[in-house]
Amino acid sequence: MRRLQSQLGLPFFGLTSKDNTQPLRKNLFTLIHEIVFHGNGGYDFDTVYNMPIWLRSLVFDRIHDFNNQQRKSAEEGNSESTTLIDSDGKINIPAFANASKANTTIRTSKSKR
Amino acid sequence: MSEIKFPTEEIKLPSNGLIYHKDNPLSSGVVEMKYMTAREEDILTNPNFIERGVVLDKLLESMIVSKIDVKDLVVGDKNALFVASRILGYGADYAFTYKGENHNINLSELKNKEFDSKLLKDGEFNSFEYTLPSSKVLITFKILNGHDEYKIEKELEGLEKVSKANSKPLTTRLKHLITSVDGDSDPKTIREFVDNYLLARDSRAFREYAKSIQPDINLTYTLDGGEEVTIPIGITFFWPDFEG
Repeated sequence: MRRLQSQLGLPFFGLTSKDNTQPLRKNLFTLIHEIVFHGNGGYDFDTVYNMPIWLRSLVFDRIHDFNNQQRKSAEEGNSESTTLIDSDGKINIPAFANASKANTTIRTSKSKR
Repeated sequence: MSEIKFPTEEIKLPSNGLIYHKDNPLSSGVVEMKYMTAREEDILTNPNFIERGVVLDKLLESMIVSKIDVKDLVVGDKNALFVASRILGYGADYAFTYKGENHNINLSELKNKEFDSKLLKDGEFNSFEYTLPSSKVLITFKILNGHDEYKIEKELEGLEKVSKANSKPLTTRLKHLITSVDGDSDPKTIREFVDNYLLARDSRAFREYAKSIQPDINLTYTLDGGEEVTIPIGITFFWPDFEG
């Protein structure tokens, strides 16, 4: 195998084998995939492939921040909501009572008639 | 899909284009380069290019927008373009370790070495004169470009095939560097001179002189203690995400 020589006339250490290029290639194409997949249809592969690195990093960070924010607000919304039936299938009595009080249009057997 | 055009940068060559023939686009002294993209990262991690030792040339070919032949570039100009491509790809911040200490430098602060165009032989491009200090022989020489480097490499490969002991990288390089001896530009004369008459101390002095006058980017950096070091170009220069 030919040794990678420095064009700079200096001690130079480049990548030398498939073993150390593979993780870098995987990272590169994973990043492109993430932008295309999570970019809400705004980017195709060619656009991201030909994007300057600084711009690609910026786009990736923005998408990442946006998705994090979405996840956070979804989690916050979930923590405020209550379920009438527990995960084990039993009725959550306090939640059920609260929901009944709040609901003013509960139909009774009389109203049906 | 039509390709989106991104802005480019003009990079000034250390030679100012003075050592290229006036018909060569490189004689303008500037080269237009685009910003590094995934396409170039793909090249940098291409195992085939790495194995063949052409990865950095392929990188330049991909980044240079100007209609030039990368092989026409002399080594010093090429070095400046490598530094420029690193800046256009991963930014100007470069960290390196020297004697166990970490240093951070801004690559955009590196300056080109002053190239003295008066040293060029009158009316010629890429031709310089030097009188060897001991033998007083007058020689002319040129600064090697990519085509010369390719020829040297092929010659060395050929010599190695004959015998490992036959490989003489230093003298082979000198034979390509020197263009005439006492006015005689016959390749046979030059080869004979290098093999049989060039004194070791003259050879050393000549190599030092050639190195001192060649256009290049100045890669020296002054440490906090005042010590001047040549910036080591490590694996993180072009592969900043590389982890051990």
